[in-house]
Amino acid sequence: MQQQLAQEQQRIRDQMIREQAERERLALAQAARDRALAEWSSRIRAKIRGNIPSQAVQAVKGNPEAIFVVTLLPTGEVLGNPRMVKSSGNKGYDDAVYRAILRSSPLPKPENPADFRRELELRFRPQD
Amino acid sequence: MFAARSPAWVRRLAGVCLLLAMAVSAPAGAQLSIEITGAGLQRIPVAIVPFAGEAAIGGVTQIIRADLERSGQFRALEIPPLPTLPTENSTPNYPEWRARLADALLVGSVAARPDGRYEVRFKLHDVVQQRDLSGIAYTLSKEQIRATAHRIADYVYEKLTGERGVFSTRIAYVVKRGNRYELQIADADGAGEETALASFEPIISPAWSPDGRRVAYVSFESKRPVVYVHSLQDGKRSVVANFRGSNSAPAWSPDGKRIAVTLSREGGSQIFLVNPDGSNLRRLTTSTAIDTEPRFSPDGRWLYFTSDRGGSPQIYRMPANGGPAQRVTFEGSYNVSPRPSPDGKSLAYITRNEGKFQVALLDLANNQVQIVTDSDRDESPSFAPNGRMILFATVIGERGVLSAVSSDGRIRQRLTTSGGDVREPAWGPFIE
Repeated sequence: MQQQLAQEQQRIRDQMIREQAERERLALAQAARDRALAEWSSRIRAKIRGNIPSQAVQAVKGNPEAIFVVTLLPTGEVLGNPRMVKSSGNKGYDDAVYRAILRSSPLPKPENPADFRRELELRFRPQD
Repeated sequence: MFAARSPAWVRRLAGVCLLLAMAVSAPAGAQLSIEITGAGLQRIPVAIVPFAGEAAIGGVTQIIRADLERSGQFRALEIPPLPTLPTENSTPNYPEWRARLADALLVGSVAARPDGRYEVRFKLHDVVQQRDLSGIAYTLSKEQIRATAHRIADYVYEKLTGERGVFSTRIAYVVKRGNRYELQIADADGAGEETALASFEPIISPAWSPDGRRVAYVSFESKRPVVYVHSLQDGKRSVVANFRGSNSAPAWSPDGKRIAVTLSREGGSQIFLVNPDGSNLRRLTTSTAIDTEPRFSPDGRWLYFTSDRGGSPQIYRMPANGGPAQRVTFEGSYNVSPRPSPDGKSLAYITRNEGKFQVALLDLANNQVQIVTDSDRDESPSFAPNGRMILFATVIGERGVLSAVSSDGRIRQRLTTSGGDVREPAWGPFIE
C-alpha cells in the first residue's frame, strides 16, 4: 500500500514535470510565432507606408482610422482589390492608402511559409 | 494489475496532448491585423514618355517634367529604351510599367496642322489601378507651347494629387539691378519675364487683383510713396492713393472692389479702404499706433494687419468693414506680414525667432504655430493659390533671392531668376 502510494506520487510528479515542460515548449513556440508574425507585419507595414504619399497625410484633420481587408496569394500578391471596411471620413486619405496597398503588391512573404495568413486587416492612421 | 479504466492522470495527459495539437495547428485562416501610421512616399513616380513629334515645336515634355519635379511631389522616371513607345491611342502594358515602379504614365504627341498651328494630345494612365485617366487635345500656335505644357502639367498634378496645380500661374517681384528697380511679371517657373515698370526709385508691395489682370504697387518714382493700380494687358495705370505723407501696403478685397491701404495723411500710419479708382476713401483703424500691412481673409469678412498697439509688432484681425481688433499672434515679440492661406485656415507671417526672421504658419483653428524656414532674413511670404507652396524673399550672400517652402515645411526650393537683387514676391491667382 505504502509502495503504491509512493509510486502514485512519483507518477504525479513526473506528470507535472512533463506538463510544465509542455507548457514551456508551447509558450516558446507561441513566442517564436508571435515574433515571426511581428517581423512579417513590420515588413508589410514598411512597404505599404513607403507608398503612402506625404501630401495625403498632411491634408487630414485629426487622426481618424481607415480599415482595409486584403486577401493574399501565397506569393504575396494582393488578390482582387483591397476592401474598405471602415472609412477614415476623409476620401482623399482613403484613396491614398488604397492606392498604397496596390502599389505595394506583391507584399513581402513571411520567413516561414507556415506563418502565412491569407487575410490581412490593415488599419491606417495619418499620424503616429 | 491495471484498472480496467485509465487512471485519471492518463486522461489528463491525453487531454493536454489534444490541447497542444490544437494550439500548434493554429488556424492559418485567422486574420492578421497590422497598424500603419504616417507616410513614406515623398515623390510620386511618374513615367513621362517623350511626346511623339515634339521636335517640331521645341519640346513639351521637358517643361512638363520640370514643372512636376519642381513641385517636389513627383519624380520623373527615366524611360528605358523601348522598341515601341506607347502612344495616346494604345493601351499600355500596365504590369510592365508597374514593374518599372511607375505610378502613372503620361504619353502624348504633337502634330503640325495645315493652317500652321499645332495639335497637342496627351493621355494619362493610372498604372496602380490600371485605368485610363483620360486626356485632352489642344489646338495652339507655336507661341502657346509653354502655356500648353503648363496646362498638361496641371492636369497630371490634379489627377494624381487631387489638388489644383499652379503651373499656369504667374508671379510678380521686384529686381534691383545697379540703381534701377524693375517690377517683373514671370511664369511660376521663372520663364517669360516681362518688365511691367522700370524706375530709378524703389518699387515695393506688388499685389495682384483677384482676377489676375491688374497689379497694385507702391512706387517712389515721384520721390514719395504713391499707390498705383497697373493693368497688365495694356500697361495703363491709375493712381489709387496719393495723399500727403505715406501711401503704402495695398491689398485687394477678394471681390476686387476695394483696396486696403496704409496712409499717414491723418498722422501716424492707419489703415483705410479705397476703390481701385481712388474714390470712396474710408478710414478703418482708429488707433494711435502704427497699423499697417492689411490683408483680407479669403471670405472677405476679416482684415488681418500688423500693429504695435500692444507695445511690440504683432498681428491683429478686425472685421473688414470696421470694428474692434483682436490680437492673433501670441508667440514671440515680433510678428509681422500676415498672409491668410487661400482656404482661410492658416496664416503665414514673418516671426523673429532667436534673432532670425523666418516664415511661420499659424493654424487658425487650434492656434498652433510652426516655423517652416530655417533661414535668416525672410520676408514677404506669399501663398500659391492652391495653398501648397509659400513664396518668399530671403537673403543669401548679401543678395536678395526668391525661395519657396511647402506649407508643411518639407519641400524647399530656390527659384532662379535672371539675377540682380530680388525682393517683394507676390504669387498671382488662378487664371480662369
